This record gives sequence, structure tokens and C-alpha cells, in this order.
Amino acid sequence: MNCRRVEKLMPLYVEDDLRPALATRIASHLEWCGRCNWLADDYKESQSWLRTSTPPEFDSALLDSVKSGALAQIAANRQRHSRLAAFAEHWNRRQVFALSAAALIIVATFVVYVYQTRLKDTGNVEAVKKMPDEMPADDRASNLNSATKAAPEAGFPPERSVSKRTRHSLKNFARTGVPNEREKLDVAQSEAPGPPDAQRPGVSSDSKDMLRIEIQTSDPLIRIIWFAPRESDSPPTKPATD
Amino acid sequence: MPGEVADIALMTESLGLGDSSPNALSSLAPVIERAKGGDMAAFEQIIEHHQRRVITTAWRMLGNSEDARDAAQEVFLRVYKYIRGFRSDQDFAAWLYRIVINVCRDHARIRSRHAGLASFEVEQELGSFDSLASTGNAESEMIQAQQRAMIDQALDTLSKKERAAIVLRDLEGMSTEKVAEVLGSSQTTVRSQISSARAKIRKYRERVLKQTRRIE
Repeated sequence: MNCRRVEKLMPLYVEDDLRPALATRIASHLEWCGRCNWLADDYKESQSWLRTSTPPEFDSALLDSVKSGALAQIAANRQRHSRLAAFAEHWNRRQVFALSAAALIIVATFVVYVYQTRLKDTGNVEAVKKMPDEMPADDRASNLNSATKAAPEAGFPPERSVSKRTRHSLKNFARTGVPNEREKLDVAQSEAPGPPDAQRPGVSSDSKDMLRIEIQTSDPLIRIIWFAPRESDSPPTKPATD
Repeated sequence: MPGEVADIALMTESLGLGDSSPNALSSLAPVIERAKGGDMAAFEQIIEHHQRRVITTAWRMLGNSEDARDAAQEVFLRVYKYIRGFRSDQDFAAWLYRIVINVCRDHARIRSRHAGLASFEVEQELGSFDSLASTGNAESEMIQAQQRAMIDQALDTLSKKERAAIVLRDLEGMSTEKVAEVLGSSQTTVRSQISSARAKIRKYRERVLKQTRRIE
């Protein structure tokens, strides 16, 4: 072992931090090397000097002040301890972040859902308002509403379940009075008058003079029922049928 | 040098810790369990049992009494805050030392930001612990204070990690294995830090001695 290597290992050798075999080799080196021997002594003196740094005596008054200070801080913190902090104590930062993100996503989804629902409702009202003047607006609205209201009674799903395609057909039919061929609407005319007024809300008292038109959309669950005034002449809003 | 030190297989020893002896720990275990359950009396017992050691270590890490006292209070505050997370299979002394080292690092960082007075001057201005616990005459206290200030300046030449390692290993008398556990490092890293720190302290002392001889 050369002096350079001994010099590097010396800080550990002086405090017995080396493996015994290595320490023995250094010790045998020190037996004949005066320079390294001097270095070892110097390190030992340095370590002794370092250990002369004895801490001051801490009297009981000081220790009591530390204890009372710590307890006072703890008491102050406990008073400020909110429920949220108590909850957060059991969660690490990552968990809190994940929980916050999940809550944010749920809230955002709910907001988007509510917004879209309102948008659809607004679109329906506007569609009714845009009906042509061929038929009085009130009649069209009442007919459309009666058909819509009657649907659940007939075992049909509520309006919300109407597909977009069907909704488009309905709007188109209300606007033009002609069903879209692509929709392959199964339009059936019935000579039979509608049910009594008590059973069919939204139908006027003169429903005996009305012509009932049923339209089956491509959606098997959706059927449009249309009431038109029965006249000898062809009704102005009579839809084209098969 | 760290690479070279890493090559060396070093002996492991167990100097042990006064408070972490099996008997001490077994007697303290029920107290810790009670403190975990929120028992303030048990927590006070823990403070009484460890406060002297905590203040001493903080003083060695920070070099002045005022910071050491603040750090000790902060240590016990953190112990109270996190003791529920302490596992029974852990070494409480090592866990406590880790908190002490972390708190002292935070204090040292704050102190370096404010870049206040030198530690020796602070000791003199505040009257130090010596005024709080004066037992000897003023002259010997002055010499002791100067000696402490010199050693503190020597420790100031070290990096924070080196200082923590040398304080725990050489001044607190912990084993290298325990120091590694407290600092969250490998034993090889700790030995490298200790080796480097001892070399720096020796050089500092050598420089101071030369200056003293010149003056004389």
C-alpha cells in the first residue's frame, strides 16, 4: 500500500471506520512510514479538537422553556385545527390532488350535462316558433304538444329519449307538412275520430271533426299523432301519405 | 475520492445510542403508543426524555443557542404532528434524529437567507446559553465560547450533508449504519461524507494554528 492511498483512507482509519483487514495493512504501513505516521497523529489531534466542542450546560429553566414553548405551539395549532386539516392529515398530497381532480371532473360533467339539456329545450321551443303560417301557430303548437303529451300515455318513452334523427324529422314535418321520405315514415290515416276529450288532453272539443294521422318514425318507439281538421277539400296541412 | 471510498468494504460497528438501547426503547414504546393516540401526558414524557439530546444536536448543527432553542420547539411540534405516522417497528431515536436534521436544515436555510451576524457574534450578543447556565468563572467561559466558535466555523466550512454526517457520527457518537438510516443515504455515501468532512476540519484547524503561531 502506498502513501497516497493511505492518505486517502486516513480520515476513516483514525476513527476505526475501516474493515479490520484494511486497517491492519495501514497499521503495518505506519510502522515504517514516518510521514503517514505524522498524518495519522494530526488527524487524531484534529478529531480530539473537534470533540472539545462540548455543548453548554442546559439548565432546567431552559429545558422547561423549550417544553412549554412546544406545548404552547401545539395547543395553538390544535385550536386552529379545522376539519379540513384533520381530513387532510390522513391523506398525502398525491391522494388529495387525485381526489380534487376527480371532484372537479364530476362537477364539470354535471355542468356540461345541465347546459346541454337546457340547450335542447331551447331548440325545441324555437322549432315550434318557426312553424309556417299555413296553419295557425296555436293549432300547430297544440297539435304538436298533444302528440307529445299523448306519447307517454300510449306507452311511448318520454320526449327526452327521442333520437336526434327523429327530432329532425319531426321538425321537418311540422315545418313542411310533408314527411321525409328518407325517414321512411309509416303514415297511416285513420277515419276514426280521436278519443273523448277527457281521455286525450290537448284535443279540442270539436275533435269529432278532426282527422287523426299517425306517423311511425324509423324509431319504433316514436309515433307521431297528428290531428287535422276534417274537411271535404283537402286539408291545407294534410301530409303526403303512402 | 468518493468512488475510491466506495470500493472499500468497511467494517460495520455499533456504537449504539444512549436512548435507543433495547431497554430504553422497550420502556418508551408504550408511551409512544399512548402519544400516538393523542395522550398529551405521554407526549410530555417524550419531550422530557429527549429534549436535552434534541437541543444539543440542534446546537451542534446550527452553532448558536437561539436557533437551537427555536429548532427544538419546532422539532417537537413536528413530532406531535407526525407521530401518528410512526410505525412501531421503526427506531424512534433514528426517526427523531431525522426530524432534528431536517428542522436544522430548514433553519440554516432561513438563516443563510437573512445572512445575519456571525455565529460567534450572535453568541456574544445574546449572552448565549452560558448566561442561562453559568457555572464557572467568566474567563473560562470566554475561552470555551471562543473554542466553540472556532469549531463552529470549522463546521461551517462543510456542506450541509457533511455537517450532518460528522455531527451524528463524531459528536453524537452514532454508528455509520445509524447515520445512514437517519440521513436516508447509503453507508458508502455517509463514509465518503465523513471522510471528506474530517479532512476539511483538519485543514481548517491547521490553517488556524498557523495564523495563531504567526501572531505569537
